[in-house]
Order: sequence, then C-alpha cells, then structure tokens
Amino acid sequence: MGRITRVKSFAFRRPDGVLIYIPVPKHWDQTLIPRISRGGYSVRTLVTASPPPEASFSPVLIESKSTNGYLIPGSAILSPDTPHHDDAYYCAYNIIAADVICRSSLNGEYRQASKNCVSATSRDLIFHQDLFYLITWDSQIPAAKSFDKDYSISLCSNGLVGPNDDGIPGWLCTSHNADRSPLRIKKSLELPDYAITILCSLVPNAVNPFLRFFYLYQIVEYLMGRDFDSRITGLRQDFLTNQDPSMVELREIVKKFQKAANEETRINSALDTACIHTSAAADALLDKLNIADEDLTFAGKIYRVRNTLFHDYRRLHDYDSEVSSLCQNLYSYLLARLMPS
Amino acid sequence: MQIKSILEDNKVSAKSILIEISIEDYLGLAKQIYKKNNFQRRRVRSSKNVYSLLKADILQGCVMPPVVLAYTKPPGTLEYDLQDAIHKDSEHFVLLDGLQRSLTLMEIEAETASKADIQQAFLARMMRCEIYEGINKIGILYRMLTLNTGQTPMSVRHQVEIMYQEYLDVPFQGITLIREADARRARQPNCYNFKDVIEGLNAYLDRSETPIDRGDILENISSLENLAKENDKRDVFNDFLITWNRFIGKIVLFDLKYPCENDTGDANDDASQDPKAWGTTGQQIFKRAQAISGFGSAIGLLRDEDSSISFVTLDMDNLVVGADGDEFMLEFNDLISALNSRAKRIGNAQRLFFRQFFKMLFWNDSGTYLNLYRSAKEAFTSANRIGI
Repeated sequence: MGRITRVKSFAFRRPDGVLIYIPVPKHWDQTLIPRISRGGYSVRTLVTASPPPEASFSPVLIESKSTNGYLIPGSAILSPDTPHHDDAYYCAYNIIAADVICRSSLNGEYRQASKNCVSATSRDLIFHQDLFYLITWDSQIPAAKSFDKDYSISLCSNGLVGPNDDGIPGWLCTSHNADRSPLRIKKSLELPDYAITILCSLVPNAVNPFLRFFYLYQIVEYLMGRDFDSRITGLRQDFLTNQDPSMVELREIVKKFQKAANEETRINSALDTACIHTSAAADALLDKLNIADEDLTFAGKIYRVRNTLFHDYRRLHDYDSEVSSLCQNLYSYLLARLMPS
Repeated sequence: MQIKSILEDNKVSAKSILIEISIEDYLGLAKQIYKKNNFQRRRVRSSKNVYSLLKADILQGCVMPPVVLAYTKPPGTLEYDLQDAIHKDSEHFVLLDGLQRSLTLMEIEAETASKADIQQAFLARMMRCEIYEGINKIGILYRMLTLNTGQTPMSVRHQVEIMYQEYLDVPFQGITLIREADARRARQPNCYNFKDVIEGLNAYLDRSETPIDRGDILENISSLENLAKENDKRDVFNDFLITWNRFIGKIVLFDLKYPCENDTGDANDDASQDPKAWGTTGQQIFKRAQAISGFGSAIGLLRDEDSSISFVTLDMDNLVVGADGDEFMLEFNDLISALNSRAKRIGNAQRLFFRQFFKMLFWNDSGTYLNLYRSAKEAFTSANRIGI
C-alpha cells in the first residue's frame, strides 16, 4: 500500500457496475499499514468442518519461525464487531484481505467474493461468511509460486480445504479450531496432481463411504507404486552391476522381483507404519464381516477390506458407518504419511 | 405547468395532486432535490442496452409514468401558487418514486448539450407528476413502500433515512440526532446517532434485528404490512425515538459502571480503553446500534403478539436493575464476551441477544419483566438456544 498510512474505506464494484463502499472500522489499529507492500500478498478461501466463529483466527507460519500469514473468518473481514481491533497484525492482514478482494472486483474478478456480491449493499454480502480467508505474505514463503501443490496436504491435514459449490465439504479429517494458536504449515512430499485432487477435493466431498474408501485406496496404491519403483530401481542396479550373473544369482534377482511385485508384499511395505486408530476401525469392520485373522498386519487388514469391497461388495453393504469410521482414520493416517517425517 | 386533478387519499390523510409540467421545469426541481439529499444518491446501472433504449424512447417522445413527489407544506399551498412552489420551494419536496427516471432525464439533458434543437424539443416536452400534499411522514413512508414495487425498489431503511433527515442536528423534544461521523457527540445524553435510530426503526418495521439492507420487494411488503397496523394519526418514528430516549434516560439514572481498579469516573471513556470490558457504562452498552436494533425488533414482535403493546405503553418508570450495579455490569460484559467467542457473526449474535433481552424485559409473562439483570441472563440462554 506504499505510502498509505491509514485506510478509511474500500470500493467494491459489483458485477452490475454499482460501487459499494465498505468502511474500515475507525477504532482499528492500523499502525502496520504504512509497512505493507501492496501486491505482495495472496488471498485464498478455505473451509473447515463448520463455519468459524467470527472471533476466531490463526496466525500462520508457513515453513517459517515467524508469522507469514493469517487465517481469518470471512465474517470478520472489516467487521466493526471484532474483539481484535487492537491487534495491529490481525488488523493489517484483515485489511489486506479486503484490499485484494475489492481490487479484484475492479477488474471484474470475483473468485474470492461471495456469490451474494451480485446484489451486495454491505460487507457481509461481499465477503464469504462461512469460510476462512488465508492471507499469505508471499515473499516470506519458500514455495509461494507452487503454494497449492506444496502446502495443500498440510492444510488438509489441519482440516482446511477449498470450498465446494455448496460451501463446506462434509468429510474432512478434522475440524480446524482457529483458537489464535499458531497454525504451522509445511511442504508435503512431492506428489502427483491427482493425489492432491483426491485428498483435498474428492475425498472431502464424497458422500458415499464406499466411494471415499475407493478414493483413499488410490492413495494407498500410489504409495505402493512409489515403493515398488524404488525396489525395482535397486534390483535393476544390482542386475546391471553384475555383467555375468550366475544361474543362482539370476534366480535370486527374479525371486526378489517376484516378491517386489507381489501385491501383499507391496502393501505391507507401503503401509509399514501402523496406525492404532485405523487398525481398530478396520478390526471393528472385519469383526462385523466375521473375518477373524489374528495374524493380519495393519496393511493386511486394509488389503482385506479392499478385497471385500472390490470383489464382494454385498457383504459390506450394511456396514456403511463402520466403513465411514475406517475412512476417517485412514484419511488422517494417509495425510500424515505424505508429510515429511 | 398546471394542475390536472386533485383527489383525496384517505389512507394517508393527504391530497393527491396530478400536474403536467415541462421536463425543463421538472429538471429544475429534481436537481435541487437531488443536490440537497445525500441519501438519494444511488444510481442503479441497468444493462447498457436497457439504458440506451430508455434514453432513445424518451428522446422520441415516449410518455413516462408519473414521477411521484411529496410536498410537506400544509394543504392548499400548491393550489395557491404551483409555479412558486416548484421554482422556489424545493426544500419541501421529497422524491418518492422516479429517481432512476429523473437521473436518466438529467443525463439526456447533459448528452444533448451540443445539439440545441434536440435539447430544446426534449426540455419543452410535457410530463406528469403526482404530488402528495400535506402528508405526514408515516404517510410518505407508506406511499413510498406501495409505490416502490418496481425493478429497483429502495430499501425501507433508505426511505426512512430520506424522510427523517430533516431531524438531523435539529433538537426535537430535547433529543438530537447526529451524523455518524460525530461519534463523540453521540455519547452525550439525549444525543443519538441518526443511522442507529434508523436501523432501530427499520428493525421494528421489519420485525428483524439483522441489518441486512436488501431492499427487495418481499422486505418492503413485510414492512408495509406492519406499517399498516400503526395508528395513522401518530408518527411511529417520534414514538420510537422518545421511548428509546426514556429508556436511555433510565439507564443513565441507574449510573451503571464497570468496576475497575483505576476508575476515572469518566462515563464517556471508550470501551477500548479497558480491554476487559465491552461496555464500561450502562449508557455505553445500550447506546450501541445492536441494542437499539434489538429493541425495535423486540417491540415489533411483542406488538404482533399483543396489539395493545406499543412504544408509549412500555413501563419505563418501573424498570429495575435487579442486582448490584457492579454485579450487573460484570455479568453483562461476561455474557457478551461469551457470546462473542462463540458467535459465527458477532454483530448478528449481539443483535439477537438484545432482541431477546428487550422481549424478556417488556413481556409481562416472561418471568423477568422489567428486571434488567434477569432479562440479560435469560436473553443469553435463549439466544444460544435459537442459535448464534
């Protein structure tokens, strides 16, 4: 905002061209406004399991020891009722969100504005009321340009995803409680786009628990595939370094390859770290199905459920709440697996 | 210009006078009304095609429906000298219906400035105006609501603002309404923020404490139905304001102050000076927009249940705090703090809380009738039950 020292109001241009002026509450602490470099910030919309209380917020630390973002409910943007009017950082980030959204409207861009902005006469019809705005200070974020690819999984594991057309997705791994404590966001492992789409868009919006399991199993298969690739690379290296393998050595390599290609081996290897909550949920479901096998590993249980779902769906038909519970736990587990340890 | 017809409007106790007037004379008047009235400066943009079509039609000589005005001088003034009223007395005219048409006429005049013959023909053309003469403010509001059912109706709040703006800065029965910018004066006894009072009256007419200014037809019809229940001989705005002033007067008498270690005793301090308190004095608590909106809405709802309840029947004299003053202030601030931390939208939650508070306070059978302390506790419980 350059030399601007205090903001009095913002102009929002509705799609029909009418300008709406939204005042910045006079009692807000704007001492940081002169230090803001306009254009150095991004604003994203995020939802959690339920609409956030207006008084909630989270300072955000994205791969940093100091705050480089804020998560603020849309209902609090330029709200004269916010109890945090004397927090200069909160006010600055809140004003930045309003600035970005209102400036976009002047260019006919309404991606971050509420659908109601078409007939808006006041701020509550311009800013989304049921979701969060994530305001980030881009120059202080290592991977600002690939933000969605790098940080979506971390946000998702904190119960924060992008909104759907109807507002809030029904199945998140947790609900973000923006209780003013810092929200730490880290870069996830390198992932293909489809895996991010599955975890951050498809799973949270899949009403059917069987479909959610199917989606989640795609991530299990991705992990299996990644593990398989690293094993095969090792075998290939062994094979290539040995120019003239003996029959015994060749048999050994083939045996290793066969083992690596075996699906049960692959899932055991991919899900080598057990999760007690997911394991208990899988046990509950397998009990209902009268599948009792004490020797099953954690991965084996997931594989057994997968086989039943894929090949004998009717047996699972009446157990959607158990499948749902398993999905909830497996979802959290997989998200954690995709973050660096 | 000449008068063509005079009819009595018995519903609003006024004369409806139809005149024919040249566009030039009308624009002279309309510009004055537009210039003096900040509240009417809202131009609705139609799509480019509709906008161009309307202008082209007018230039071709299309006859517009009559523009509707109110003239607040006593009956007979217009009939005595219509020319004089139109040319010299714009201050007593209010534009009820036809703002967009008037603005379009102004634009045509500006756009034809370089084509003298076209402009001359345009300005010389005659149009119709319907003028309500000797009408009181509630009558004007009623007529505005019945007229504004077109494509771009004004909101009720906007219309009330237009009508009562003459109360701004002019003492009325010891009460002064002031502009929003003058926050310091608004804290003085018998001084109220004009915008807050308008919100409060709108909450009463709308039976809703939420400040959403939709301006849609359904909102207007709902307010119209409620307005029709009012006694047309009384001005509900005056009753509302005087009653609210009596309530605030009672609160001032109770001398409620938030107990703090370094009490300066300055009743005009901002709440922000004491981070613990949402309201440091009783006056500060109840002078907020949320309180007056809650009051308007609550009395409207009580009136719907029992038509004998009105602003003038509220028993202000027998109000009691119901607890020690310090205890009341601590409890009230605690309740608001708890409300704020849970509310999805703080302003709406506070308005709902105050609506429930005033309902409990002035409802005979609430069990907390006329007791501020108990009404506050009950309001908190019921607001949470309703959902904040």
